Amino acid sequence: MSLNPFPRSRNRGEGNPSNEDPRGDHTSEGREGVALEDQVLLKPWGQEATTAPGGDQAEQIHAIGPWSLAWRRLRRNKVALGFGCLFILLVALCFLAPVYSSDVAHIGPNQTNVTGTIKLNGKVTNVVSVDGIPIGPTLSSRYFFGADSEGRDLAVRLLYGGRTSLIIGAVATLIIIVFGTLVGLLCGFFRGPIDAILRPLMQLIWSFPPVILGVAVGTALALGGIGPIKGNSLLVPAVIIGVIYVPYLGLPIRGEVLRLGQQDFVDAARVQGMSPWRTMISEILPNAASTIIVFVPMMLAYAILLEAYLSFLGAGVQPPNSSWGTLISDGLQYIFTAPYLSLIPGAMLVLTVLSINVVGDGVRDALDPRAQLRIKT
Amino acid sequence: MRIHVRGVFLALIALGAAVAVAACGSSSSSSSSSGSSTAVKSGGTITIDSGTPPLSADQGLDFTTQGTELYSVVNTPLLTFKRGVQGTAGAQILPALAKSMPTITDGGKTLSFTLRPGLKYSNGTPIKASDFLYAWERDLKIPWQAASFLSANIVGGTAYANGKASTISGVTTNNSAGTITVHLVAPFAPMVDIFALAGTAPVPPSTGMKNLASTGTLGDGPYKWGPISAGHTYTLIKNPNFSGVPTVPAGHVDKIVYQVNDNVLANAEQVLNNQADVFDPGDTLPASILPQVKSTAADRYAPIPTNSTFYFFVAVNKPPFNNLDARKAVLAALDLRALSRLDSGFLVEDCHLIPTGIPGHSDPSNCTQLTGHAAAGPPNMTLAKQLMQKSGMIGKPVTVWGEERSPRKEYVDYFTSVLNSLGFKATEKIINSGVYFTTIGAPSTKPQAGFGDWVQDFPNPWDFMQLFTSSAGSSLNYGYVSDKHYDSQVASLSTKDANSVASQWAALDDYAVGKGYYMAYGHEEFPKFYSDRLNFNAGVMSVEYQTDMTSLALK
Repeated sequence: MSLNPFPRSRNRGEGNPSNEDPRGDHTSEGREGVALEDQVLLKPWGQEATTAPGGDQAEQIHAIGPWSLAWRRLRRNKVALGFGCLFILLVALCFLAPVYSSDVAHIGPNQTNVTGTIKLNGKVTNVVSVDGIPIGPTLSSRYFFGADSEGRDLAVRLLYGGRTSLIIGAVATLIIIVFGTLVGLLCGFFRGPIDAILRPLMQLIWSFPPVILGVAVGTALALGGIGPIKGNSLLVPAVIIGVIYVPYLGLPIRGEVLRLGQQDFVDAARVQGMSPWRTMISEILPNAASTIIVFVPMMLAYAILLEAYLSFLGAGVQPPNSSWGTLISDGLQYIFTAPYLSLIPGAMLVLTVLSINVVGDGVRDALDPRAQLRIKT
Repeated sequence: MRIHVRGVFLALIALGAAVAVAACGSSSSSSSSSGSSTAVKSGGTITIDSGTPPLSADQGLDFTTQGTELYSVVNTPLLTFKRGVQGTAGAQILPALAKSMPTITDGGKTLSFTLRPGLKYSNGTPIKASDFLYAWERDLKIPWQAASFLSANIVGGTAYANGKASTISGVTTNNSAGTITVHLVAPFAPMVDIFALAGTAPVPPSTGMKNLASTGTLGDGPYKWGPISAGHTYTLIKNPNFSGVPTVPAGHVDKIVYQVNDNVLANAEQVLNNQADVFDPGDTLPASILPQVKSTAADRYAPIPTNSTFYFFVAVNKPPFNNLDARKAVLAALDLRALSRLDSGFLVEDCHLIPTGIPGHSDPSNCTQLTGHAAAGPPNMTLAKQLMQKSGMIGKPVTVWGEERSPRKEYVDYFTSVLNSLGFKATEKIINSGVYFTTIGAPSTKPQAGFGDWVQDFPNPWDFMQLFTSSAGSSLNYGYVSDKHYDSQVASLSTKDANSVASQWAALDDYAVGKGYYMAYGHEEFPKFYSDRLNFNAGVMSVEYQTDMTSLALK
């Protein structure tokens, strides 16, 4: 499947299936079955819209770049925007964890308080009972979501854990995008020995179930670290996840580059004497950009989920640091008496991944209207 | 990508369903029966759920509490600890394959045993006196985790272990007379206890000089090995050729399946719901299920005091814990009440290494003077911070080692938090429970600090105090303690009857606490928790064997 929304050899009559005018003031249709916005004069990626060939003012309005058109489509997707706002809210909350910790809860994320007490409704209560049962949600500034078995504030650890999960997800995604794109471009464009070496390597990694591979590598590296990176550094799971998922982007990009390499505009560039590297960077890469962009939220969601799996299994974030995966794991032993210890971080994880996926869907639909058309029919 | 969205919704539904199913499971615990039958039933199969596997089914290698539970009914040695009695009363030593207790001569340096007549292995082969020598040589070659008990004390043990001798010269046997004579390097009172450990039981000379982790060895006890899936399942079946040693009961059930699942909560759930029969006492009953156990299964649950000690060790041979003030600061800052709560209240707070049921136990009230606060009182943070300032170790990095199994991991979280509150820069290394002690005991690991525990092998204070002698090596002395006074006192006291020098053992324990060689925090009660199918009163939680398999019987 091509995710390139606007190949230069378009227009095949696909586009906005709702036939709404992008300006929203009236319905207008040009050629049969083709929405007005798909009839506009499209500009190559990375170029601003300029005057249409006819030169008159009316046509200038329709001379719109593909990015602007995609953004316009995305803005119309209220569900995606709603979940986008939710994601931003979650990210903001998690990154405000130090403020919440110091100014509201007054306890650090790893600070135990097993024999501590708090006042609840004027009554002094143990944070952890003598036989080890932690306090439940107080819905007040201290222990809002309750405590864990070590008397640590779950709300504080939840926010810090979210920050950890998001940072690892973001770093891993960056690794995936940079190296996946690079490897995909090199393999697809140059083929030959580069492809012969890198493609089987990627296929080898791809052939392992990511969780098993992650647990195996994570367990080994959690002790020794990676070179100068210590085993308990957040970079360890980020690098592991990044490397595991590089082929998940690299191979599709390779396929896309192979397809693009056979297009006329690439031949034209070659004929004009453009060097291979310049052709790859200035002609192929911009046309593969939409595919890469569509993969960003998908990979971010995958990375956050894999981090949670690995941390749940003890091969990701190392204690006492928290992530949503470690919090779910730590809370499991209290699933019957204090289910919130696992369910709250689980809900945060689900909401985050769900919002990333919905936004990702919106981005994909915006960049690739044909895919949307196929699904709707 | 829409598939992913659907996937998330599916996951949500699955999560909900899982919680619902789990909730149903928890509420479906059957009601407990009242009382127990007076006649003990024979036959049947029972299952034991354990959170940790033994290192090996081979008693010639393994020296774990889990392994001891199992092979102590397969491999009977010369002597045995009293079976059929609950708690610390089970520490009494009785003759087993030996006709009587050993004759001790030469000022305590020679022990002579005579075998009972007609002893057989489970395949019917007669047991010979020379089989003991072969078993001990095998212990030194594999080696047994407690091989130093033999090599350090029997004449020629070290030479044989090092390959400089073809046999252990200090052991002589006579097969026709059935006698075994053991010459010791020096008088050593705990040697009698050592000959009651399953690791010293005889094996036929056809047994390979290698770890038989997945088959175990041919035994002579009331049970023999059935199918073993190493690390997962260990099956014991009745030994039809058990020759009837009076001090070793024949056992009641036909088959015992010991299954390993590191999810201790799931194990407890299984026993609560009668899907498994015994919760392994080496695991801690999670606090989350304890109220349910106490309310719905009160007649099949009891905490039993055992001789065990939980402690943190610190490497005293390198910064920052080569500084006495830094170690004392940690002692002053540790809140033993917190550690007890992390252990669901099963831990009795104490700063000493020698537990209550062993001669030489020091009064916990001494802890106030030794650590700056009462054992069951709040920590002395003022003193701790003063000592830290004095030590000049603020800001020093510390790596704390721990194992995954709850509440061991929680202990380490707490210890790390205390170190950080004192100004250290402490981080953790939590590893799989199955390899924890072998990892931190490896000479290359050199841990800076970490968790340790010790469950009584035999009722002699030497068993605990030898952990911090310089001769114990890195596999036991994780903190690399090397103190000439401590070493000489342990060596000297070990030559005498423990009861006669109990006060000196206690003084030595106080000395070591004051030096901060270890940060002991309590002695644990072990849970005796059975399913409704088992005869609870017949079952014995032994101080030596944990679950005494020979006592288990169905109702």
